[in-house]
Amino acid sequence: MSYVWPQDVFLAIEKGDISATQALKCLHEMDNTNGSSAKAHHSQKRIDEILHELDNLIGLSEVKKIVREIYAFIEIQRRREQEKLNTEPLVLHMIFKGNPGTGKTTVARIMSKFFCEIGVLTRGHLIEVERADLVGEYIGHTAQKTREQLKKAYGGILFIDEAYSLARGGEKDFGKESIDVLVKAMEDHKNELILILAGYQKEMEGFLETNPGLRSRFPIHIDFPDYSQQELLRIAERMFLTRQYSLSPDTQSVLLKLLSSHQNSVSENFGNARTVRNIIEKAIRRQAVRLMTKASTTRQELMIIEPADLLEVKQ
Amino acid sequence: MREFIIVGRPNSGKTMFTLNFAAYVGSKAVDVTFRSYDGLMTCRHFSIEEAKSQLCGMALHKTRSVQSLILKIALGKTSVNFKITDTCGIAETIHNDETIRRGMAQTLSLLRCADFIFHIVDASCLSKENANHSNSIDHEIYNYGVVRNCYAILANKIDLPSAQGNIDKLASLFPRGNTIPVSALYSQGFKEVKTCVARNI
Repeated sequence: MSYVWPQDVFLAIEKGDISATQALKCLHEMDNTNGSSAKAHHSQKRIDEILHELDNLIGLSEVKKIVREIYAFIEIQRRREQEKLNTEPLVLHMIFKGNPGTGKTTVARIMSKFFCEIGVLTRGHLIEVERADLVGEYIGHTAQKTREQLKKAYGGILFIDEAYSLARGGEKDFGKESIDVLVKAMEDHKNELILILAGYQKEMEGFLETNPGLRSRFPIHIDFPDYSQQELLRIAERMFLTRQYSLSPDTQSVLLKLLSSHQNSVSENFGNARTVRNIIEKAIRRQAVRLMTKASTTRQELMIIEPADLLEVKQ
Repeated sequence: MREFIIVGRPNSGKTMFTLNFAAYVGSKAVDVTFRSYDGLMTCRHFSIEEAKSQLCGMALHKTRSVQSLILKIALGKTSVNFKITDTCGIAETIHNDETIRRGMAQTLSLLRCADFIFHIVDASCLSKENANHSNSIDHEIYNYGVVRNCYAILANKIDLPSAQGNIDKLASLFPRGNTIPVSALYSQGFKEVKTCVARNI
């Protein structure tokens, strides 16, 4: 009987598994082995778990490379510190550029967990904001509102989705004021905060042109390329698998055809992985309708998606 | 704000000590914040006398939730606020009532994050449980407290005749803890407690 976290010990007392005397002994050991191998081992396990989660994402090789780079850098900084060498804190503000549905928000969420675990961020939470959260209603209100959001984000990541909209309104728009506040905060609090701006490729380029200092202030630019058809197919398979459905080989070819037709017809606003998810959910609904008419179904039937289910999915 | 936590066996005088100490540092009335194990908070305004008659009792496990008071202490020219938290008593045995077990769990979780621990020991009935086997709950609290380096033992009930000889014994049992003899009921020895609080604020 061993407990890893104090919370487990408290739960055990509540259930009546152990007495207070034993619990205190456990806590005593727990608090006095602070920072020893047990804890280090545990956090290593968590880092591995998060990296595994990241590796499970399909494609996104650039993101994976950058996360590994940062991890290695932090590890080496720690070793340098042991040897009493100079260590510099790292500026990690980032820009995510990519079409809708290429995984920008998903990656940001994983990153916040990861940075917290390796000790770059103290709290490791992710605050997701958009233009409406930052821009105020009257002169002077914007700075106040932006600063409020920044204050919430210290110790974690501030993720601004569709960031280009801050610079869209023209000369007199309050978005500019918000950008000024952000620029100042990201310099002054570079050790406590990671700022991530996300948006579509083309619009973000335009956004970076509006303020000459912006581009250089973000040392990390990550492009989220559109998924290739093979990647989309793998994503679809993964999604079916997590929902415990399976595809027959015929269905795969139909799906591939369907994806390519989608990609060609609506090239501008193609939602990538999100479109795939919609297709899948629709197919699952079609399958359900098909099976409803049958009186009894086998386990196998409940799992398999037929080509016919997919063929009806056409917008 | 510093948090001082009062722990000890059931019926060792924790609540009585808390309330009389509040009176000693100059509060005529107190706002007691009760926090039950499921996070429910209630705040009640008592005069000291009312609080004593309602919150203290002879039965075991009278206090089942965490009760905090905010007190003011004069420190040089300014006065500083601190929080004193009274807890559910903890015993060696696994209690059959779930609310009490949860209360004990709550006490232990607070023990981990408190700034200073006052451990109340009933000096009048020391002989039976404590002296013989070193496995008692008092020993465990002592072991836990001394490594935290913010810990003092209050030997309570010294007004009783049976407690007179036990103070030296207690000091030898817990050599590394700073033992202060007090009587919670008659507010004896509170001056030392107050200096201890002032030093650790």
